[in-house]
Amino acid sequence: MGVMAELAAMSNRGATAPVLDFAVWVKAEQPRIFLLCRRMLRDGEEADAATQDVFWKAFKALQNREEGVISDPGRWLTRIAVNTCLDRLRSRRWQFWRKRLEPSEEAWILTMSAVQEPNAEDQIFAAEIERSLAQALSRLSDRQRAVFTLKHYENRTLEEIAEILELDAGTVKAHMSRAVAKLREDLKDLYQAVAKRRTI
Amino acid sequence: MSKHWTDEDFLNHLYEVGPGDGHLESCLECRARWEQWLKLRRFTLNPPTLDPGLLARQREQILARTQHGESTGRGKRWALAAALAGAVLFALLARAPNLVPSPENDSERMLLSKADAQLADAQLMSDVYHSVYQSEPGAVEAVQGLFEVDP
Repeated sequence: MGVMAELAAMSNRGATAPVLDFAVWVKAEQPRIFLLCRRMLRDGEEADAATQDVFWKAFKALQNREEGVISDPGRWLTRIAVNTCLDRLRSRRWQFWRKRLEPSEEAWILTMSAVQEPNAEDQIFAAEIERSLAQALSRLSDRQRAVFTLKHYENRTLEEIAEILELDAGTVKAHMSRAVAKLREDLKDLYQAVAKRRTI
Repeated sequence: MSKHWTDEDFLNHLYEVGPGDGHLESCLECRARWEQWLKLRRFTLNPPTLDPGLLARQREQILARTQHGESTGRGKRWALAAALAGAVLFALLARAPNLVPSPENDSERMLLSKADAQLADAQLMSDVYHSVYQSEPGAVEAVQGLFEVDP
């Protein structure tokens, strides 16, 4: 089955995004995948390359697909994205000479990438939250970060995360417990800041 | 009625790591606070707006790649890696003759072993000489016997 036919079939089966062709599907999923990659890799440039890799892998997989159905294209694509990021993180360990972004640079990129209208304050606050969480997430291991990112940002259940990462549910819960334990104070601060802002 | 949940309990519950005591079903107050936590969480998820220009350029590259196959950038990286591997191999081969013993080295080694042997002989003779002319008869007799020539 060709790519277009597969995507059309996904669309007919009531996929999460209205999949008409590959380009439309890319446009619908691209911001989510790019943000997921950026949160996992903590590097805008690398996230850009990773996002391109993710869609290229998806395209190839669909092209080589002979039969069978993808019951949840969004989840399938998320799995490709997480695995791509984990591969990059593994290879990154050898690239000790690579340039690391300073937290201030990350904040600047995030603020600049936010559109300063019409609710500019909300956008700046959102960028601030994103920056704080990004900093906190840097203390987690690769697996813990993958689990936490899928739970926090994509609101997936631990069972779903286990399926995406192809891990045992108990292992995922253990990773999540350790991640929450490491981030406990940051998360408390974050929720307090949000609560305070909402009462202003 | 069980004790009210703390912020920590709500936080753990938010990330599915506890407490699974069913307290929320029975406590209206905690239920209301839980709703608040869910709202706060939704607010933290407000995604930063991404630069539309960046997304458009990225999309163009993705679609170009699907039309023309692998990117040339990756091809260039492989070519660079192959060139680097070749250079390393060349450097190793260039150093290789030094690792194999040369004829000069062999003759040097033979001279050294001859000198070692001569030194060892001289040492032996010196040891025997000292043994012979020492005063301890027990030790001398046996050695002396070796050098006695019948008249």
